[in-house]
Amino acid sequence: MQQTIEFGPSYAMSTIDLAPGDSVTVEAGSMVGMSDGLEIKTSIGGNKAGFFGALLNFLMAFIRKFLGGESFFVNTYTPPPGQSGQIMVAPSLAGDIVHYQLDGNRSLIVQASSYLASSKDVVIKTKFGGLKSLFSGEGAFWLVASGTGDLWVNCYGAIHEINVQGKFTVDTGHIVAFDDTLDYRIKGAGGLKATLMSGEGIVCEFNGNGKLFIQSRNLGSMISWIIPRLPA
Amino acid sequence: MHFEIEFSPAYALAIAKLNPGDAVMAESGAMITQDAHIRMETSASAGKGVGGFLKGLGRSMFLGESFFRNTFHADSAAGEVSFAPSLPGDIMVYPMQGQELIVQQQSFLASGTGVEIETKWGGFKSFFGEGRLFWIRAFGNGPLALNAFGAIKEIEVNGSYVIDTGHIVAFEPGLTFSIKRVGSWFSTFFSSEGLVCRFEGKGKLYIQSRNPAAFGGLVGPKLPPRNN
Amino acid sequence: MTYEIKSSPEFAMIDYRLADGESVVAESGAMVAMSANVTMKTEARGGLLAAAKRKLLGGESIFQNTYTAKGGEGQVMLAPAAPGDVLAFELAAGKSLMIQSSAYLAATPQVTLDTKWGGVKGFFSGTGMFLLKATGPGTVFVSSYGAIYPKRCDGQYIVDTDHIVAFEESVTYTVTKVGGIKSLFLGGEGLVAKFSGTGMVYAQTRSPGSLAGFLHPYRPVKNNN
Repeated sequence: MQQTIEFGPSYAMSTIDLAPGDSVTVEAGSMVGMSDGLEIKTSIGGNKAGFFGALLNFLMAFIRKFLGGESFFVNTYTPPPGQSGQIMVAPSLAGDIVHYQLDGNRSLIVQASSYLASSKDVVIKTKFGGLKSLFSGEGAFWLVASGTGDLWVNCYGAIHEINVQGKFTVDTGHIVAFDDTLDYRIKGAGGLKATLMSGEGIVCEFNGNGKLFIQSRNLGSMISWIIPRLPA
Repeated sequence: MHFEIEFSPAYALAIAKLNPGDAVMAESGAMITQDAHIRMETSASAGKGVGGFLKGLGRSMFLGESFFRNTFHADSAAGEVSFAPSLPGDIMVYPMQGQELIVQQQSFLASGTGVEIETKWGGFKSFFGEGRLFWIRAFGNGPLALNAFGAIKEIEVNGSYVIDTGHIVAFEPGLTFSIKRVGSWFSTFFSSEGLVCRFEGKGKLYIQSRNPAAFGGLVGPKLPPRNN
Repeated sequence: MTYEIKSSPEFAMIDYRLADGESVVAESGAMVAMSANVTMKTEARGGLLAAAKRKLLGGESIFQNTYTAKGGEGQVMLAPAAPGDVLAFELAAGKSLMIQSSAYLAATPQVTLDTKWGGVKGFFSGTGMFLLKATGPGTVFVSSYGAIYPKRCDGQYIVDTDHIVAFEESVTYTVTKVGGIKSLFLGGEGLVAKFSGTGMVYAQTRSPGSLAGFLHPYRPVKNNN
């Protein structure tokens, strides 16, 4: 599978070239264009098998939808047998896309609304972020991506990679993804006064060694900014 | 008169450079800055050859009727006027040289006075799901500035290609097209892809890397309710 | 202190490095990330009365956060709410920059902010925005919705009021409608500022009002029972 990312960091779009036998799973609604003849299968995100697995998937996805705002359907695109194909994908918000190669050794924890696409052998599981993250504005659920293959992650704003060595604090609305080797603690920004009045709300304190991806914008802040300008 | 585009593709600005006697036409509300001596004229004319769509609601309420647009004149001295659209994204200048271009209504930004716009182009009606998409036909001579939500990509179709309708900016009329549903009924309803447009033939197609309806559909529900 | 403005002009963010004991003051909500030894203090800057004055004029948070590095160097990353650029202005002592209120992002602690009423001159009437006067010495960081288009005014220059970010003190302005009454309602160009004099004017290439207008039909409809 070959892929390119154009127009980053403002309006990134990924063009994925599928060889015969390849397939790619993308968040519902993100297809921009595609070669003619690709087969499309719509399903609920999540990789648990069996009836109860499927039911759990549905429940988690449903909860995610309401708490996280993330679409809970994914589309899997496959070229007709023996043929190659192409699909262009982009998220709904302005911003960047990063392509991450998973090698089977480490997992990447991804903010739910940042999931864009993944290849066949990448496993996506839902993880509950803890009660405090319910108030973070980004939703209570994170996704854990593991396995081997390609993962595409989008963000609102430009993506910045930080090599955490020790302690580092990030506003939760700006977290895109991070290595599972990092410990994290969600807390209020300062004392009670600070949490209520600083506008910073909930922050996430990371500890350890690993990669952290942050985004330079935050949808919640953008919404607060535009609200005073809306007509009645 | 010619356009210079700055800040592409993030928040592009179209700067119209006018020689004495030149004029430039633009969508209502698109002007950002102008030299003080440039004279603005609002004109309404019916039917063919009219641009200018009422902004504010992102919907054209008067398709097929009279429109208003602004014409900026540099009478005795050279000058400049700059224009920008409502949404963030890129602007491209398409040189009209007697050929035609089919443009998604929201993408028209500004043009030289020799470019004509026909709003009653019946070849491509709007349809449910993607908000309302209206199409206009541009013809004539002169520079045509088109804006996009996102970055603009040119695709040379040779055979067939499928595009999500909300991502289409403009296309050359040599291409034939058909609207189709994606996948099965289940897929259409749940896949959020809705309707797509299948282009066939040989010709250029311009797409935008973001979809206004998807953006509105994502952010809109998070905003406080409105009165009507 | 050193700073770098990253991802400009798309989604600009300030990567600020503070020496031990140094501070930077930022608008509420601007913090993206900070390193271990940076502390944050929240206060109503300029005293409660000045802050209340700002709040009453609508939209602008009354609290600001001061980030200080303690026990070593520190790093704090700051970003505005709107997608767009950030520009740094070095102001000499006594020199001022007029800034549209929602464009103010951060400043070094010695910069003083004074709120000028925007309402009297009808500059931003109805939008809840007003003019801030930032006076040096120090650095002030200004953000925009869209890219920043700097223009040198030499005589007269017209800018749509929704697109004004900042301007030097040396230019004066009047607010007018372009083209007369007919244009106001039909032409779509609302209020414009006609700048006079010599000095720099900074415009932004997108307007929050247009974005609000675009999003309006997508809002849920109020239930009136």
